[in-house]
Amino acid sequence: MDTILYSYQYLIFFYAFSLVVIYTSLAVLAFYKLTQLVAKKSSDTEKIFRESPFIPGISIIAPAFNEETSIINNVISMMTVNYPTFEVVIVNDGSKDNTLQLLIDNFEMVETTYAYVEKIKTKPFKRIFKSTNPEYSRLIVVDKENGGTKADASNAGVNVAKYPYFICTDVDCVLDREALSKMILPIISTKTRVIAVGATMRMVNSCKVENGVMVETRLPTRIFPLYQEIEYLRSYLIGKLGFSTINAVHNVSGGLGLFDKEIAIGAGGYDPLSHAEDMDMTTRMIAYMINYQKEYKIDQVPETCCWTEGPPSFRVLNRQRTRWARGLFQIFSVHRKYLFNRKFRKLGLISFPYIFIYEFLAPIIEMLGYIVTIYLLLVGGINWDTAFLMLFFAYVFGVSLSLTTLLYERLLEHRFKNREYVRLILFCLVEPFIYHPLIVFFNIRGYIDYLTKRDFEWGTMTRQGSQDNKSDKQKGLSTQTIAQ
Amino acid sequence: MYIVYNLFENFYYKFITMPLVIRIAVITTVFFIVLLLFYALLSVFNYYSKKRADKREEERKNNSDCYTVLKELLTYEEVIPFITLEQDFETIKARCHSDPEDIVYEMLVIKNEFPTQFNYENLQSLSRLFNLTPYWDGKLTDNSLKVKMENLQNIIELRATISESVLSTLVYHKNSELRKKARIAQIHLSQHDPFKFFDEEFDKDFTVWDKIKIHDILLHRPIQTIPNFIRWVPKVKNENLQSMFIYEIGYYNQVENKEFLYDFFKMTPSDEVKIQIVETLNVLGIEDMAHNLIRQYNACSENVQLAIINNLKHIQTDKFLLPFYVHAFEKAYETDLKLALGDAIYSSEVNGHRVIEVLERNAKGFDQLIFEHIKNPLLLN
Repeated sequence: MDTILYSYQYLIFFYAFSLVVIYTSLAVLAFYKLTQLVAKKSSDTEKIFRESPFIPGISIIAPAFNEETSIINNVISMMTVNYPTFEVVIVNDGSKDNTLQLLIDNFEMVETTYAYVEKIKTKPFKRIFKSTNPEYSRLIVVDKENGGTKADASNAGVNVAKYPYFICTDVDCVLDREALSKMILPIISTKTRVIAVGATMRMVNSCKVENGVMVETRLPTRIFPLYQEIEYLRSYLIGKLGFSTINAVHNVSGGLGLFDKEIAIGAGGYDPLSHAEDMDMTTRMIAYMINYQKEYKIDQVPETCCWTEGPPSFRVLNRQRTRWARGLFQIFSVHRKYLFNRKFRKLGLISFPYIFIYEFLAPIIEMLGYIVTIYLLLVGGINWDTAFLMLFFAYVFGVSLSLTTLLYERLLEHRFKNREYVRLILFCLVEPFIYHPLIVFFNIRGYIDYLTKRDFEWGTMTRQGSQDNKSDKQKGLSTQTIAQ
Repeated sequence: MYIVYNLFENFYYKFITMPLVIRIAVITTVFFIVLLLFYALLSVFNYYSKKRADKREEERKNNSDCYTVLKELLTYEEVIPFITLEQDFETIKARCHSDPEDIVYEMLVIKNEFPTQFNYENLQSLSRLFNLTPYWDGKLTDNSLKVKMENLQNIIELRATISESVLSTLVYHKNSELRKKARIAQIHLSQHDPFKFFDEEFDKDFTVWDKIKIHDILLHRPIQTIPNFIRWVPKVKNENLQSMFIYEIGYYNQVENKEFLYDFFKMTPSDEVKIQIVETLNVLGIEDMAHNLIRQYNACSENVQLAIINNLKHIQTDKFLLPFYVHAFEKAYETDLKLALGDAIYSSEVNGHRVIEVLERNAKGFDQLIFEHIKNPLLLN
């Protein structure tokens, strides 16, 4: 028993140390990319975008299911993006509330004939709506039977999209006005074909939004969205940005991602059965390019392009994280053939092994660590000096990583006031004791749910709304089901 | 000193006797503690630098006299002769900042505030008066890549004059962003060989973004200095660059190249280039090329066929086009192509509506929907 425990402790230390090495490398790579981007920035980009005939068109696809509280403002938000050629495709996924009627009334829409081609299989398509008002000529509404998932609705949007690139987002997201310009830039400024581009997302909670347009970004006042803000920034500004420098991004977020339509359709679109449809499609797009021996790139834009609502309560956080965990488990069940497979190059040898060892196994290893610690406490087998050193080692590393993220954010965008940064730092200091154990617990729950095939329906999320949405909420419509 | 040495010695001997794992943990922890201390120092440094920058910015704003006088001259409708400005130089100088960096800053602010009224000729004269060329030259030979990039961008935006010898040090720089920016600046600034790099494929890392920026910079050149782009079309290998030259042929209405473009259409294997040729031919007048393109139609990929149909449909006078559309429609199986062909038939003034009615009567299933789709005014692009 002692030998097992001894070996286990060594194993865990080297696991943790390798994680430190990986994240430090990612932080260095991300910093390199940030400096490159800062050097590239020029003040006349916006003007060139507005006037150039070579800018490709983009379709913004947003599935909507029972979104009556926010649909109008959010469609307005999408319609006001600053980009020369785009369309907005709203997919009403069989909403049971007034979502469709609100769209019809507010945007003067009428049912119209349309030669709908099912390039990707979806639940039955019903009809198409277009506006009679030329002001809304960019808007198209697809009405279809409920498919139960965001993936199915997104696929219907892809079938209707007319431009070579599409952005998939959630209808409750607030897009930055320059989001499309920022996200298309990696595609047009690289020789290699860029098949997908991700961008930084943040929490809309507490932000000031007017008529669907972000007016003032503020730090969330509630604890869970605030921690999710830190988590998102860490993931986008260090993880994904670092991986993008070596072209090993494994996931373009479902909340906001720009995709090459031809490749997305070629790879089969979103999988309606997947619980992590974003990562699933990104994986299949990469595999598609490798199978056809085509060079590809997946890029990450560090600038904030979208704001989404963070889970306002423990219950909602639980639902969100268990679903993400189920999705991760499912990815490794469905795509296990890519893991450590040399044929799939960086996907098989870098991205998938990384996610498997450091994201999928991490909660299991951590939970096991808690159990072993309790056992050692009971048998008095803890060397306290070493234990404190190891705890301090892990703590200092975690805090350094979070503070590095905040430093990068400040260098790049500086979205908050000084006192908000101080608050963020304070929350970072206590994150390992409050938020992190919860996430581990939810992940384990998600894995158990997946193995026992329980609770597989799409979750409901209680929306608090940004400043803009609060007036809608006061009308008594605060709960909506989302499929994100 | 002795105590410190002793402490260090004790720690060292204790440290080397520790197990490997502990030593790694200690080193890593110390590394991150140092990193955190560095962040703290950096924050303090940033705080004071920002304060200093804000103070300078405020000073600049307080001296609104400089902004006013420069705005007056740079947004003046007519070109002010250099000699007139020279006579008033002492007055202008007295009202302006002493640092050239601040003057350039004001010029950029004015240019961004009044992009349409901005008088570039007057800016040239002012640059001469303030002797800004040595300032730019100094910035472009600075050690910092960031400084070089920023100032080259400012030079392009303000269309300022710099020494070509300074620019020539940057056009072969190892950093591809700076190198490409310098080559774009060369198009704008060079007096004797502005298009030198078109002969060299522009750059090995040429992208769509470069294409966009070159087009933008070409717009700033006087029309009489625009070359005939056809000379580079067969010479370069990069498809993006090739299609940019072909686009520019259309944009600058270089009609004499039509025949050559059609010959090149037959030769090139690239769909992207073929599509651009069809679009350019449409700009230059596609009527006399229509029959040639129809002859090539069946040998093209779907995307090129789409381009041919979408560009030919603007011709209303050719009565032979309608039978071609109908024949192609009957043979087509791709939905997008059928929609384009149906649309071409429907928009044809020569019996187009009547032909559609006949085809619609005989159509079944999805084909019927295609006819409804093309007749739908709400779905027009």
